[in-house]
Amino acid sequence: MLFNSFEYCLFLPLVVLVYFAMPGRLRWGWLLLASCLFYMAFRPIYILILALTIGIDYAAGLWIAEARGGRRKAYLGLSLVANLGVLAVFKYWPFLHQNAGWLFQLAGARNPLPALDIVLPIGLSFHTFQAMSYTIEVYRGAQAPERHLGRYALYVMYFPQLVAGPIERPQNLLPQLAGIDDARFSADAAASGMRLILWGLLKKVVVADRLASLVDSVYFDVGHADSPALLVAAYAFSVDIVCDFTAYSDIARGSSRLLGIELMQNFDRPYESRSLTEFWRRWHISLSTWFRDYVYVPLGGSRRGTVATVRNLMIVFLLSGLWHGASWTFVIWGAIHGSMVAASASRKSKALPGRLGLRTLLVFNVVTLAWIFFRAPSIGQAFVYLERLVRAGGWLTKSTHGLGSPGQLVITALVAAGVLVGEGLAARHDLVGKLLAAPRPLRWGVYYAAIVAFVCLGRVTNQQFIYFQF
Amino acid sequence: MRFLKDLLRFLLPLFVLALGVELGLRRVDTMHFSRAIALSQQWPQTRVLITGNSHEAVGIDCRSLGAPCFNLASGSQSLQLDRRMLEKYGGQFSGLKLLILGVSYQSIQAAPREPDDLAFEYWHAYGVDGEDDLPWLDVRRYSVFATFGPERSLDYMRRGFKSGTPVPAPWAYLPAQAIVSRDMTEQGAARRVARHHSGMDPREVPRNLEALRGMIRRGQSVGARVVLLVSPVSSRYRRYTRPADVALLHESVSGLASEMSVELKSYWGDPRFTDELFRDLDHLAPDGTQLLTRLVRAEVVQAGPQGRSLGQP
Repeated sequence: MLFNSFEYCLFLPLVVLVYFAMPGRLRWGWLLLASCLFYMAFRPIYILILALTIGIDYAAGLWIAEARGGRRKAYLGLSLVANLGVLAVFKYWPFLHQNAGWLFQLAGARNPLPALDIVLPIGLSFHTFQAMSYTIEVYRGAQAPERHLGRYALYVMYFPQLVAGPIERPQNLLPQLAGIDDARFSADAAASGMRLILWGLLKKVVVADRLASLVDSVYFDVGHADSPALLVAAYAFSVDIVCDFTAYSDIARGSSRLLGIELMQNFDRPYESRSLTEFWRRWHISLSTWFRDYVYVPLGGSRRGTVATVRNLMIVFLLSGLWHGASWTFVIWGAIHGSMVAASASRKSKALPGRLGLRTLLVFNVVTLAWIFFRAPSIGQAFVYLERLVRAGGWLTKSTHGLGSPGQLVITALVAAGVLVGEGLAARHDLVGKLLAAPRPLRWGVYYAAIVAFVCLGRVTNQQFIYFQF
Repeated sequence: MRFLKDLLRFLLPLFVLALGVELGLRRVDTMHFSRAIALSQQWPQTRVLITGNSHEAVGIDCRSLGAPCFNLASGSQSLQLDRRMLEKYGGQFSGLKLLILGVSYQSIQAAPREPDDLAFEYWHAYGVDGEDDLPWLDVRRYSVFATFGPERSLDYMRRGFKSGTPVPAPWAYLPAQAIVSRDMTEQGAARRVARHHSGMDPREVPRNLEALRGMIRRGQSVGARVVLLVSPVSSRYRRYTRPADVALLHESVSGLASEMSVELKSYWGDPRFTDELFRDLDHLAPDGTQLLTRLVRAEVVQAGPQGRSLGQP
């Protein structure tokens, strides 16, 4: 079920109304049922994968807490193998199979790995990482094991963040789920949640989906696209992906806030970063901190000298690339970011040279360049894209093939700029606070304007969120 | 409770506005909405009914057929939609004497598509449930605004809920400007046929033949003579078609004609239809429409057992 679908428009109010109307002790069951229905709207059978890993992780959590010495590590290993095993089979098998095939072909041998025709379960990387963070935290003694199986299942399956995050930590979500029995409806929280949902929908339907159709048409036929179209599509994808993903996070947080449960903030205006290190502190925060806490720091972080730091950063970013997708394009995308962050870490002065605004612009352009590998269907296509982007003759054309009509392009650019600038201004000048203090007609006028913009400028196409595929 | 009251007060103007827009959009004189109204006005006197896709929609002008006729064919209208339309409206044509079922190169192999805006437009205009059952939880099922999309809807609203391009006599034939591609180049031909090929699958033939059988039975149940018609296409279009698929079209329709004891009239590759008679690669220009209409009148309408008497209601 997509957040930008008619189903969700009916689903969410129903879940919230019944949730607050029912006795507190039954709420976990209701939310778990709603989460199951939400997940099963995509591919029902895959709920069995979730059931399997939930069962293993739940048991592993209890066993880790009770065991001593090496057995604790063994139980943690069991949980990690189960989660990573599911990822390996359902997400990485085709990639492994293909690459093994090439290697065996080079050696003149037949690929012994069987080919599996598997459809990737939606949001798999998100909920397996969330499940792993639970057992790791229990192993570290930072989190008590959850003894209520239903509540643990809800921690993994909680529908607002089930398929595209934020990847929550048990310390944030489990205590809130334990407190839902006594939760009372808060009008302020509900209004705030609805504002977040409306803002998220605006970004998704009005900006991201408009840009997506432009980006898709250019990437569909990279071999025939002209340089101006490729340049516009590269920047368009930069804005598309930030609007798409932050929109999902906003709607997720808003939906959860309606239920009185606060999810972590996943983005903090990443394109205002003055360095790539800062970019990764602001972009997909729940994933960045996951890799920092469970990979980078255990590897030694930056404590063992420059060479080890660079190595650790590269490992983290290559894994982060692979987390996004089983393809070499994502590995290269991770390598670009890793090498830039590592280069910055190895310098004495961490800041990029130049004035503040120029640094932000430089970071934005590096990120945009790297997105080409992220979005391209293959490495070959990414290099064709880059080659056609910079070739001399490509800039002599007057063709706008793939970009749609100039009028639509201008509307899309204005809307995208308005949303990005508006979000920055709102954060810097507390525009939400000022709006809340404004008289009701003005406040409602703004909401009505947002709804009208959503209806009149939006693309009602049930376009999936980009990060669902991960 | 106060929150709910405030929420309802906030939403009320939006509901009123949405309702007004929806009611207005349902009255717009779009091609399908006008045709739906025309259907209910025309069926008592209709003697000849034509179904099919854009080939028949622009190819046969009912006004020159010499008999009270309704052209129900339309752009991108699949055989499944034809069948649903006949299921819904067939019983109303009490005086129907001749049913002409258009079949084309791509429609015989047409694969079901995801429900698109056109399917929902049929649902709103004609009350038929599209090629496949339309999903219940799709907002387009309930909203004409969502079906048309914001740009088209706002355009109608700016015109005072008028289309701005009313189609004269939509039951007669469809002016070709509405649907044709003007790209007459070799590349254009290759692209157009490739686009048709992308939606074709030989495994779909039995499903589409079943739709035709259903329509034939429906026509025969009201006592009408049924004719399968394959419209002409330009030689340039034919050059890019696949011989196996052309053979499959002819084998399928001729097999069906003998199985169901109906007539078959094919103008595929007919030398009388030279390329100058086509507005584009597979749609006839006005001269071509005149010729096909004349031929259908002489070779189908007047050649039947009731012959010229079809002209008298």
